[in-house]
Amino acid sequence: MSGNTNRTDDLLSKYLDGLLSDREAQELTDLVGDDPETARDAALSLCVHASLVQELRPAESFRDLTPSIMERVRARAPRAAARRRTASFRWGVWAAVAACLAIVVGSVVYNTHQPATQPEKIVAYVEATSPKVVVTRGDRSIVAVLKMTLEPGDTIVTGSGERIVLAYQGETTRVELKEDARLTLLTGAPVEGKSLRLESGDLTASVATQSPERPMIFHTPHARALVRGTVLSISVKNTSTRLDVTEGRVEFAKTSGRASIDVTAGHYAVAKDGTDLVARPVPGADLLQQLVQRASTTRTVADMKALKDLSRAAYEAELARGEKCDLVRLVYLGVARAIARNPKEDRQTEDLRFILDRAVGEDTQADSTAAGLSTKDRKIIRDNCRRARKLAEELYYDEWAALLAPLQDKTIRRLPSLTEALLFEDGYVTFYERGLPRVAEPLLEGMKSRFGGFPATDYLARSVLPLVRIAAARNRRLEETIQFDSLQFLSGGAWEVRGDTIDSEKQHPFRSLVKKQEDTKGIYVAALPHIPFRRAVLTGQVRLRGLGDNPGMFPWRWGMTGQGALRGQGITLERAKALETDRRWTWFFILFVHREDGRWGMVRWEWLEGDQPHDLTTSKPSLPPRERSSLGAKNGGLVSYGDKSWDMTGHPRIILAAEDASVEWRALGLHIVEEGTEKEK
Amino acid sequence: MKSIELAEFEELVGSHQKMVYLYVLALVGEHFLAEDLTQETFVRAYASDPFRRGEIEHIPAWLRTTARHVVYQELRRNRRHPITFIETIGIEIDRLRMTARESNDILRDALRKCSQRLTGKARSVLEMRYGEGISAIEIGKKTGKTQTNINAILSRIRSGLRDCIKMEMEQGT
Repeated sequence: MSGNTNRTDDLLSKYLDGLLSDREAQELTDLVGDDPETARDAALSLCVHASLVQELRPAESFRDLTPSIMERVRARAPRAAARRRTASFRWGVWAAVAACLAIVVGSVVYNTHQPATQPEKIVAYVEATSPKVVVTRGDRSIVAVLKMTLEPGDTIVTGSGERIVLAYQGETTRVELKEDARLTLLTGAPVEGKSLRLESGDLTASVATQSPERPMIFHTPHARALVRGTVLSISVKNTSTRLDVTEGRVEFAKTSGRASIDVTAGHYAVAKDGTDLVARPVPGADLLQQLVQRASTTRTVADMKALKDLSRAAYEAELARGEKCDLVRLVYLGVARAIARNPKEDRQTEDLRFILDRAVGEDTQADSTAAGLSTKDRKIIRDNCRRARKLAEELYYDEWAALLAPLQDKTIRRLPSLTEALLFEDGYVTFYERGLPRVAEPLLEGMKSRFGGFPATDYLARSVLPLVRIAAARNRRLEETIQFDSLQFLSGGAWEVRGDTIDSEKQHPFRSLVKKQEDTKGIYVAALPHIPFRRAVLTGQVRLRGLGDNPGMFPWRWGMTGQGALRGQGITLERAKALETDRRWTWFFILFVHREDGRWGMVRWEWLEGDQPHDLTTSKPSLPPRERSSLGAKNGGLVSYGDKSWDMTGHPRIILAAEDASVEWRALGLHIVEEGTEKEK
Repeated sequence: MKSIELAEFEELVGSHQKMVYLYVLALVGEHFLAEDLTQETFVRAYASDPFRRGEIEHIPAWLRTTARHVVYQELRRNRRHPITFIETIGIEIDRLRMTARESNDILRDALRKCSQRLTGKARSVLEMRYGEGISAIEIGKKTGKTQTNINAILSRIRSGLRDCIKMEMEQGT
């Protein structure tokens, strides 16, 4: 017994110090489970530990948890209050109850307990931001980052092309500050509600229902707008402030006067010295409303085509206003434009801005629910909006990139939660697919400056890889520890960069087939048109060190593949061509596919010695002079090196090493959608 | 029947947070984790059944039970602690509480009394570990001992205090 007690004490000490191993934890569990007396002693030991904390720790070091708890409770208060609508409680005897609560000490209260009248705190934070937006706090300037909590008095300044989205804890209110704008958070005291001052620039806001006593107030140099729940946009010029209301109603007043007007949905008003406040209908708003109505109830392709003229008219009305669309309108326009689908129009809408926010989906669904629509109708709306989002995602790649920028240096372990925070549904996949052609343009610039004209890996790492990581994490097809250093993407069509030109329109997914491999100086990825899947992502990284005449480490290079066909469970390449053969031991490429049976498979390895390609699946080229070895692949996924072999299925990384030489290869994401599982659009 | 107001609830939180904190601390041993779980306990309490029904006499027990379940849930989620051990210990701690309620301050008095019997060195180590919140490694550096030594000393002190308190409580009851 004594031995057990001593051992239990040792283990308990480790437990309290957080040093208990799994095996010791099991041992401790067994010890207390086997002997009630040991269990009682252990319980008392833990109570002693807690008592020592309470007795010896200075009272002031106990953090008062009340503010944190109340903040969370208040965030849930409306829901909880609804549940407790009929409840009652006698609170007069709480003090007496407290005395009975003590486990160890009895009724001890925190010295730092705050009075019950502590005001509710309004907490605003950054939900999305461009990389260099600056927040001025007192004398300090801070670069805004995701989830950063904002304080009253903070001033946010956006530069050209920048934007930032603010959110409020516990509600769906969102404020998007556009480029070249200046916004200050005012007191935020609960008695005044949320309060912002827009000094210059534009903002749009989707404001959740506010308490009637505490409306959200937007101040500008010329006016103030009291909001109790609506969607609006405000634009501040040198001498005037314009308010546009998309939904709900806003009380609008000049700073210089007490008179106010109500501006309702589809109307706008301008506050300017020397003119009266008048609410006027927004041009084209009626068209938009019609469009929304029609688009929301469209069921057939014929109906959708019938919307084309209407959508064009609404769109042109938007452009005629010369103003940027707000979120909801853009979604609806996106619906219509997805229907009309005119690529030239896409180009014209590049000045529009789109908030990539889950609120899109939530708002839309909330609207349709509020309208009392049937489940079927709601599904149609949802599908329409999803289609609109896909289109918008392609159009607004820059915004996506801004949102994703903070992911660059994160480890993949953290990505899923960030993904959830930033994105919704499968939008990232769509973006990845559709946005990639637009990556090509800056990529081309990067190519000129790095690696003798070869793709700039750093650019890829910055701009595209996070997306792949997200997709990989979401699809759970890669290990968390994998490192991505290169990638290629291939849709069912083709993506191609030749020399200094790229025609992204032609690269639109699912549009074209394989392009010829004429210029090998750039990036080239060719589709495998005979493979009965629609798109595939492939390739690995090659890092050669100390091999043959190779002077050192090649950051990476990647090759191409020819045409091929997937037959049954295996793949046979009908033709393969190597690129860039100016160095010995340089080229090396690999194609992985996700096979029909759900496993990863390796299609082909090829090794170039001088100008001569070697098919590693059938030949054994001479490898580093010091180590004549062989590489081979068989059975789709089994890689052999010398007398060793690796099953690459489930192994994202492999290093082939021989003394002072090594070949390191890393598999990247590969995602294949079989043909016919998703109709081409 | 009136529903609880936020101000009243805030008062409740202020009055009982330390009790819940200590209870959770006894279970999980870690200060910061105990704070987090204490918060979670009260957040759940706000919408709880006893509050709705106004069963005041059940509130303390309910708070404790909620805290225990919050702890279990967290530990299962994080897999950082031996959950079976904690479940067993949780029951024992509740039993201990039932005993202690008979004579409310026995445990506290016993602890104070037993603490006075500690040697100066032991009291010094305890003060550094609990009062100043210094880690065993740091204490070792200050006292010229190894971390293992300090852990062993702390373990001996705690078990000594436990045995002493146990004896005191038995005499008290």
